[in-house]
Amino acid sequence: MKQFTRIFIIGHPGAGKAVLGKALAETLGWKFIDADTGLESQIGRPLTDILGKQGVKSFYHCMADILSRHVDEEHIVVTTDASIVCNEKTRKLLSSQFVIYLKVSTAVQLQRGARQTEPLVKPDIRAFLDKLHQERDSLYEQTAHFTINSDDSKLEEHVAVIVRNLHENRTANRASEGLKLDKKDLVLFHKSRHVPVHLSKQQAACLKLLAQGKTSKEIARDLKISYRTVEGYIAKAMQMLGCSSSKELIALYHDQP
Amino acid sequence: MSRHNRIFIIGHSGAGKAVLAQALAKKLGWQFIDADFSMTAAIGRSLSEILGRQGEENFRHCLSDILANQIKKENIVVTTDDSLIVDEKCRNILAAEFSVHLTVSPSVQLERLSQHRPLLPVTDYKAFLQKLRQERDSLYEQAASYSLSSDSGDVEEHTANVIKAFGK
Repeated sequence: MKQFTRIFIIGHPGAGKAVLGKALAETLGWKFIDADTGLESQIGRPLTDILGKQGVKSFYHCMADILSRHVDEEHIVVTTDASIVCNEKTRKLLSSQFVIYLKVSTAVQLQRGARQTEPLVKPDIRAFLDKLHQERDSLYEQTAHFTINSDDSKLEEHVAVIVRNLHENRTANRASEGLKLDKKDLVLFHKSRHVPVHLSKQQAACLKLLAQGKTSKEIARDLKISYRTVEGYIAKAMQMLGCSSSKELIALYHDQP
Repeated sequence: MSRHNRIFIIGHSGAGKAVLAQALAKKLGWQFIDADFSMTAAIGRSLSEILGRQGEENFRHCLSDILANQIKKENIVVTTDDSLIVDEKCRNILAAEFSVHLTVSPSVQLERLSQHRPLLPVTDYKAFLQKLRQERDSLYEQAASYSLSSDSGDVEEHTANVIKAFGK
């Protein structure tokens, strides 16, 4: 059975990844690992401007190595570089992990002053941050298991929500053990693009029960998780499979070859 | 020596550059600027392994841009990247500024760094750090206006010593 014993935190600079990571590690009694170089945010230039195209390639390669090394470790909370979602290989490595996207708005980022220092070279930090949001917001969303907004700075609350979600994931994993999932439940074809999409066990379990005509609340009872979590999984599955309603999602499930 | 209100802290990763710089900035009412990335020690790979040859060159170029930008400012305490010293142009700039070489003994450095590091496996981390020392120790010394060891961890005393040496 897959139990999450690792948490990866992704997100923009100034989201408070390290603060959350340390607090989570302390609460769970796990080890905190800071794998965020902060190059872009500290310098205030995009990675390609700092390292060049070839350099960025090497850098991503190195980030992938670092991730690969840590996906075998247990009881760790890892903060990642803001650029971690820009590379397919690192995104893929993260896709099977418990990944939290810590969101932050540009206004709050500016207030927090991303790592306490003004950018080292570029003056227009707002435009720079806005561009990073445009480029990466959807990538973060795609990669994450779970999204949390750090704007309100309620650290304790965020830690509690994540720890609860982590436990619910475990319970859901246990509960979905009883539910037999085959390959056709776990790998579905995208509605319009017809590419295979890999669902997590929890997403697949929710979808299977949904397709049996159950409501979110009934699924929640079956899987022993909250119905909000169920709705989250279904929404994620909808997004991943290119469906705009649960009706479409059910139809897609039944239409699979 | 320049009489600008600027202090640059140079030295190895694990010397405690940021801790000292922050304390200095607070004491002097100056701005603290963190321009230290210390990727080599954190990751456990040389810069050329992390960034590739081309990437390393670009990165160095960027670091020297940053440094050139800092020397236009006043009332700042700046931590510098451990690799900065390898670059001749940067070394010359640092030599003309008030640069503090914060030293650290191998055992204390290892103790401070190895808690969560390195991020990639290194067969002999101690030897890895030692090699960086051999490469850079004399370069740091050459560029520095003032040296002190951070081994005791007495930040308050170190702050006072640096301010005294700066002559303020």
